[in-house]
Amino acid sequence: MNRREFLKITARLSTYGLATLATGGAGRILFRPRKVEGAIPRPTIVLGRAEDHARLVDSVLAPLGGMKAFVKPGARVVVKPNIGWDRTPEQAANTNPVIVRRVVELALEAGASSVQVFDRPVNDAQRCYVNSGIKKAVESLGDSRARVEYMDKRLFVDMDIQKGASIHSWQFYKPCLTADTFINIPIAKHHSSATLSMALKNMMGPVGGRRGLLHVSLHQRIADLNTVLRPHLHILDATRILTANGPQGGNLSDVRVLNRLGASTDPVALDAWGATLFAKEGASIEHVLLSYKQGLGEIDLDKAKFVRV
Amino acid sequence: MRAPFHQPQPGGMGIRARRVVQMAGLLLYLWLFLATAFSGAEALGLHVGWFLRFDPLLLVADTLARGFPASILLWALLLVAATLVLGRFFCGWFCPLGTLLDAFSRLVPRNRRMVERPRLRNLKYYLLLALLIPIPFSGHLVGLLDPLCLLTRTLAVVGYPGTVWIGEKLGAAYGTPLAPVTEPVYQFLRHHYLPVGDYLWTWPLFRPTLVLFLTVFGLEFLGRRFWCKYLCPLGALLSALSVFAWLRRTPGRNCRDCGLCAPRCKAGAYDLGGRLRPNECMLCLTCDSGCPEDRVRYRWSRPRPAKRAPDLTRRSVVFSIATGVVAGPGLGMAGLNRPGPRTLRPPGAQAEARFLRQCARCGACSKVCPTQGLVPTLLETGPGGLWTPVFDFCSGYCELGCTLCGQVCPTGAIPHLMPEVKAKTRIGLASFDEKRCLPFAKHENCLVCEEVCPTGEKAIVFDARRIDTPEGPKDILFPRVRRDLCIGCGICENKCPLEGDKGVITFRTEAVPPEPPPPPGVPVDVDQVRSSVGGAPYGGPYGD
Repeated sequence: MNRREFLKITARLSTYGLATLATGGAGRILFRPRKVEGAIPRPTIVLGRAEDHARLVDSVLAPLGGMKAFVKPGARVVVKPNIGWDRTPEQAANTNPVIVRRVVELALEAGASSVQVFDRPVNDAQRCYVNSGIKKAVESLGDSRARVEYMDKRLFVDMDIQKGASIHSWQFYKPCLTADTFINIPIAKHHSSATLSMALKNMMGPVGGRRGLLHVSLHQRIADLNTVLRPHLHILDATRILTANGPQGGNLSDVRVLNRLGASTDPVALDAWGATLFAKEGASIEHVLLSYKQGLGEIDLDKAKFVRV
Repeated sequence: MRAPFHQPQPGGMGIRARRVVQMAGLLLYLWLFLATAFSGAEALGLHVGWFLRFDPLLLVADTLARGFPASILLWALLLVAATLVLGRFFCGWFCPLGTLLDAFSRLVPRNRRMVERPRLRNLKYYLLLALLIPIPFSGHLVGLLDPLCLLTRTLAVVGYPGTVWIGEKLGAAYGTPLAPVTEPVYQFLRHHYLPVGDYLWTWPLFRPTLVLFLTVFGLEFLGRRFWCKYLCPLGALLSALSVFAWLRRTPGRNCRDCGLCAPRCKAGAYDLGGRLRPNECMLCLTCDSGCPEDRVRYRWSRPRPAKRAPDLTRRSVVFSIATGVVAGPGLGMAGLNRPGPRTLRPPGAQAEARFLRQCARCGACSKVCPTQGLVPTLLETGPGGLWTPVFDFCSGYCELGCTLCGQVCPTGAIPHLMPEVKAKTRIGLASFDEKRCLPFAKHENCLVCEEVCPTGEKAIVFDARRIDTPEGPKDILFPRVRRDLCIGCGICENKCPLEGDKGVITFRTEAVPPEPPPPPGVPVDVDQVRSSVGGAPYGGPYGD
């Protein structure tokens, strides 16, 4: 290589370099990612109250466009209720089976190709599925597309939590991540370590690993998990709420029958509403506040649009 | 003199009928084994305990152990009665282990070692005596060698977890070529029969159990039904009863002009001189189907026990009784069977010595335990505790509302408790290890144990304290066990997030360490620390 060639190559390379930098910069201006803070859309929270819990599901979904807005024909649907404990529906530790059944039924009616229902219980899974009434409720639909499944530990995948503040990777349940529609149906209840367990806390279900380890800085970790697990629809079951000795309860005296149901696409807003049922503010519950700060939803209920049905 | 080699087994109507019955019996047994699981209702329907309840050996052992048998074992009297009429038909027609051995022996090539050893046949009587004699004085080990207990235990400790493991490995998530075939089978089994939790399939007793089982099968290389005709204690008991049986094979000896029966007999029922010992006969019908002269008949005849009793030698009887007498106290009374501080028996189990006398070591409780918390022990509780169940809280725990182990136990060593009683039955007591538990050792709030504590009114409560740490004052919730409420179910130990040694450990009630002193620091309000919501008004501005 002589001097002339060297200069030529250097000039050419620097031209390319400059050009790349220039287009990159322009691209960044043109395609600037939406800033998360401040870009939270105004959430809609639909609230209903009725003693007929199955019809309550229909009525709270109607203002959101009905189940058809979430489940397209042929969609693979995952429904994640809370089936964490070996308790009966009256003890209000698990999601009301009537509501789970109706949600599954609506998803089937909307043309779902499959509806998987599962949770990773703390107690023995078989006992929880049976005694919560959820297995029987879904199987009573008699539709082979709807399956109450025991989670298969081979389907947990290691995922980076890019927005994680406390944990940066964890095992997540693959069907939740690949579903066309992911529906979260938590129950609103007292929780000894998370203060309250609602939509955001319910996302500790479909994760693997030793979940006890998540209890160190639990609130931040709940928020971190929710940056990966983003259900399309949240329905907060407050037909019965557990007000003390949560999350598993056991005493009927801790249960209040409210016959209420809330639905939203915004878990933070929904939890902020749920907190008011326990005479609390959303911002006073740390994991709700931290989730808001991570841009997962709106915590200020004055900014939410309430639809009462 | 050695008898000639076995001849190939001839076919025939009788033999085909027997095989059909054997297969049906084996399938029934396997179905009962699989049905021994939580299926939705708290009360189990049929389960493997029902098979074991017909075992006369357990009836005899339990009677010797306690003076009277558990009422559920009285079903075994039906088999006793049938044996007194028909003879040792159970071994030839129904015993699932015998059926498996028959199936296995078809794979074993005939070889020079397969000769009849009529003198060994008395070994099983001596073994039976040596196993039964010590029972009134100490624990009994009958269940170790009882064929039904041995098979059930092997399936529970080896077969069942092994199936889970194989099913998982072959399955779709691993993308093996066999997955399209195995995965649907595995999913079906998993949905209906297999445990669904995290499975610790490598229990400490996996290998000893497998070795004992394989030894029984390995003996087939020395002769067909070697185990059954020379060693099996249940076979010995049924053979002894068959001395009184009315059904007899005739002719009563190996015919001199033919001599095919004796070498074909898989029960080894002929003496070297060709005389038939009818009480050894398993009624397998092999000789009937193979008789070229059609001489073999099964006839009713009045039993003459004195003539047909097993020819036990006095010296060997004395020796086996002496072995039992020495082994009994050796196993039970020499202070070797001392439960460790963490030896936690199933809920409602009797005091240790009595439990050891009653437990059949069948492993049915381990099979049915939904969390896999009940596991068999090797020598942790002494030689008399071999294969008895204890809780391993790394593997699982005792589910509060579950009463399944008491339902399947064939001897009542684990009583069948009503759920309300079971929920209050103390297994042990939890105790915090302040060197390990996070709030004590690291000044970090954790709360998992309290969250999972199932007793309704929690047996784990918190002492809230403000303490000084290098990072400044911190509000810490120190957990404490309420010993009046704790039943020692072990869920706190099982779910404790610490790796290795847990921060909370469950002990036998009499071995629990003294209650620790109250934690240091200034008391603060528990509810403020964790913002409890109990007792607050409900509903709010956005409620309606």
